[in-house]
Amino acid sequence: MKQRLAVIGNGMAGVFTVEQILKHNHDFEITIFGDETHVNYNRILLSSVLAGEKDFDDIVINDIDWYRQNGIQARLGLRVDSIDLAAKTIRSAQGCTTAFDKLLIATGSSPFLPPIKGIDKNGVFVFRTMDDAKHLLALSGAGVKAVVIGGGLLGLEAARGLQLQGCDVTVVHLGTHLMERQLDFTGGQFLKRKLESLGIAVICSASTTAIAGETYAEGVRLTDGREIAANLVVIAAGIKPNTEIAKSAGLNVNRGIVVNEYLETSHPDVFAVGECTEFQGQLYGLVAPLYEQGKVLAATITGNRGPVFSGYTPATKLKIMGADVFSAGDFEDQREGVECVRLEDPSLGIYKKLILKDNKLEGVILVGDASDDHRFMDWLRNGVDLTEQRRHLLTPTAISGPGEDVAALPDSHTVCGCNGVSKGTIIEAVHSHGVCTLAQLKDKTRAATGCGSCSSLCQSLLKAVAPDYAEEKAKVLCDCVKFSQDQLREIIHTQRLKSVQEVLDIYGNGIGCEICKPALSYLVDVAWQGDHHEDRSARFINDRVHANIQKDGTFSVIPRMRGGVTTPAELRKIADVAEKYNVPLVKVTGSQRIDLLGVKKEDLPKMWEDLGMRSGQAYTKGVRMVKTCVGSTFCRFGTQDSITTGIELERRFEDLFTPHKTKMGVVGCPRNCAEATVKDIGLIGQEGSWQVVVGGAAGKGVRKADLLITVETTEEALEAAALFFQYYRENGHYLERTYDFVERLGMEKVRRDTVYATDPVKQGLLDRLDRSKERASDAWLERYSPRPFQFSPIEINGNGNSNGLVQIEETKEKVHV
Amino acid sequence: MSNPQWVPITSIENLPPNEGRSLHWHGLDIALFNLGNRVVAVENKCPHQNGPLVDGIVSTFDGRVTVTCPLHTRRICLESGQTVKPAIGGPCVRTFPAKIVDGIVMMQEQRSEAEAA
Repeated sequence: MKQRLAVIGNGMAGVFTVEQILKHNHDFEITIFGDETHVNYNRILLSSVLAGEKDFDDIVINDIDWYRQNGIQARLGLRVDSIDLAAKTIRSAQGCTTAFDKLLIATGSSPFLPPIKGIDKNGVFVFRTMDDAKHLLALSGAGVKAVVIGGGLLGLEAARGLQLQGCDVTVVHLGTHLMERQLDFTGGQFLKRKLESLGIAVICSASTTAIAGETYAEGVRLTDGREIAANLVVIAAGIKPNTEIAKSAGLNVNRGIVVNEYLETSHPDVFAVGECTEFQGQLYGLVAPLYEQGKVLAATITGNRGPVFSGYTPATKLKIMGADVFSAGDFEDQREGVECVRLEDPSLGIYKKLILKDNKLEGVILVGDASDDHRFMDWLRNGVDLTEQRRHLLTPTAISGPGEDVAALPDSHTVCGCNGVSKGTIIEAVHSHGVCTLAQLKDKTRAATGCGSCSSLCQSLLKAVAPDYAEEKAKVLCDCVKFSQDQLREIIHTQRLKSVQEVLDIYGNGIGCEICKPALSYLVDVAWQGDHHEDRSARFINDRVHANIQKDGTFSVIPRMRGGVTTPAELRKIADVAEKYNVPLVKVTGSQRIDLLGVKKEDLPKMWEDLGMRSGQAYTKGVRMVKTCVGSTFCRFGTQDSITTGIELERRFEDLFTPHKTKMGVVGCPRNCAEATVKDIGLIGQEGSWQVVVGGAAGKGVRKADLLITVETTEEALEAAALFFQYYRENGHYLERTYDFVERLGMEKVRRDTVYATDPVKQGLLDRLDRSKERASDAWLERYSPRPFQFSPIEINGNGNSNGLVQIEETKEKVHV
Repeated sequence: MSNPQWVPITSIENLPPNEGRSLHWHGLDIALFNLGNRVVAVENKCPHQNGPLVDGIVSTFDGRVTVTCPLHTRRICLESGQTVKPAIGGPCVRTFPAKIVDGIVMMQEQRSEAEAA
């Protein structure tokens, strides 16, 4: 008969151990108990979910099919609350009893809750499980004040995630400096400054006594009497191993469940793995040593007892873009016989410290730049003698060609610390399994499936070794700036970059191209709501001269005609201008306005002056027009005043840039004469209400717009349109039309983040729209203050002469003699 | 014939950085670009469909500084005049020697098209 193996715990360590057991020749009938209702997922990446970088589905490690295919019974949502070692049964809180032959305890740990008064108030959370992350995501947003209690690894990642969701975040930390288990005081100070520059407030040496507020949290009170306002409080003050059931069953438990080097407990049929265990007085909370334990335990339990767990050099990496931290080994520098090598660069915010003993690395701290962490980790793990490297310990020898740094690594070098995958294993996978993409590598070796920080190293290795290496099409903006638009938004925001050139210099190739420069121009404009450095050389020609270039190099001029409504005087002016400048073609557009085609660049400013009308922005990725029907003003079927509403809509949004062109329509009744249902934003009047629809298209494809919301008043309709408009401006990818945008995000999310968002979130969108609008102006006003030489060719009088005198006709141009 | 003479064209301040400006000179339509520490001059006519290169965005391709034609995004190398995108080794535009001396953009005297013919 098969042996029954019960596993208590469906987390990373427990399920990893089961995976390892499956690799051995085993004879188990496996049942896994998990108190969460979810399948096995990557807990480390919950901070990426909170930061919006990943979805819940992205972090699932084993889906339900994996359990089925491997004949594993998954009892999810069941909490085991007692073990009867004599009867060899376990009992769940819900009352069901399961018998076992062998038992594996992988109960992990729980958040430590410090003694704080009012910790049970609404709005106070821990950050441990997928459900915790879901709650935090649901409640975070612009305008929400959040306090994170605890400035360790988890607390800081939570703080960053909440901030990216729009919260104002303060970290309250008990210790004298952040991450004191991984950093010395100076390192902690450097990290604090980094976080503050990202907009996260940090208070150290601060102990929290109480959560203020009635039933809902309103603030956090400190021992010194200070109170920090907070509607959201996250407790991240450390973890404690879950040992209660082991203890009451009579197993040997200290701080954790005591295990030996084979991961055996004090009972011959009971084993333990993960954060709940204690080995030689040491608890382990990082994934790499726990996976190491899992491998040892799998051997032990399947009758291959031999491999031993011998402890682990702890290494920690903080995954916050712009605040890199790496720490490994023992960084204490006051010990006998140790030397300390340090680098401090306050301007760049870089701090590096190495602890050496007998010319070998004992500990390392990197803050602000952890790009060469693998070098130090290699020295540390393998006890490399550094006598020859002493002159360039902190500055790696220059790499002369791509791939040479990875080529220099020994085969034994651990590339993926989480899963213990060495360079040799990866090369083996390439040669014997034909692995040539990162996805295949992950599948074959599990490298880069833990915290993911070794992904780029894996990529470089594949690039160097795999003959058919295929770079995965990461959705980077372009080859000049190899980041996704979402990453660039964050970079621009957090690094406070206000010009295209700065982004190109720091994150790109310094020059850029016609793909990235206009996109970056848009991103800096939106990020700073117009308070940025406008670089016209980064804009397409249309946006330099505010007209649309035509196939022969001439331009087209379309004045704004809000709602498609004009006057005889305006028409007369247009007619006069068309004649005066010999405009070859005058055409009524599909957008209810008039286009003057075939205009010379030099004539543009004078024409705008003669027209005295606003720019219709027909040349740019911005607000085009609002098409309207006659509506209740004259139409006998009209139920709403579509003209007035359309003109107001156009007035509120005009002069602004959007990810792609934005066309709008307002109709006074469902007959839809101005085709509002195929516009980016449409308002459809009906008796007593407006439907606000978004994401419509009538271009290459035709798409009927989705209903955003139905509201009673015109002002509500305009506000709903404004919420969507600004949301699209802030979240749309450059050159992504609304119809692709709503499909990418899903209408549910769009509604939740706009019209059904909390009041502070909505207000935030409207405020940022207002700020942009205040700084925007009619582009054609540049006729009064043209950028130097925007419209005219260089003029020289004659061919120049021998004494170097240049005569220049244009008075505006500077003359050098 | 003796070496063509260098002729002053305009102050470098009249060329905005990383942008083009056109110059009509000896019957030629030339696009001048200020690349920060140097100027380059090419014929202002994309070999593809005569697009005004002067209105293009300064870009880069495989380490070369290029300009992207505003009409159909052909990339033209500003050093060699050769089209490098969509395919390397495409048709060329004329290039003209240009340099900055004491803040003045200088070009070499050209025989006009008419004279050349």
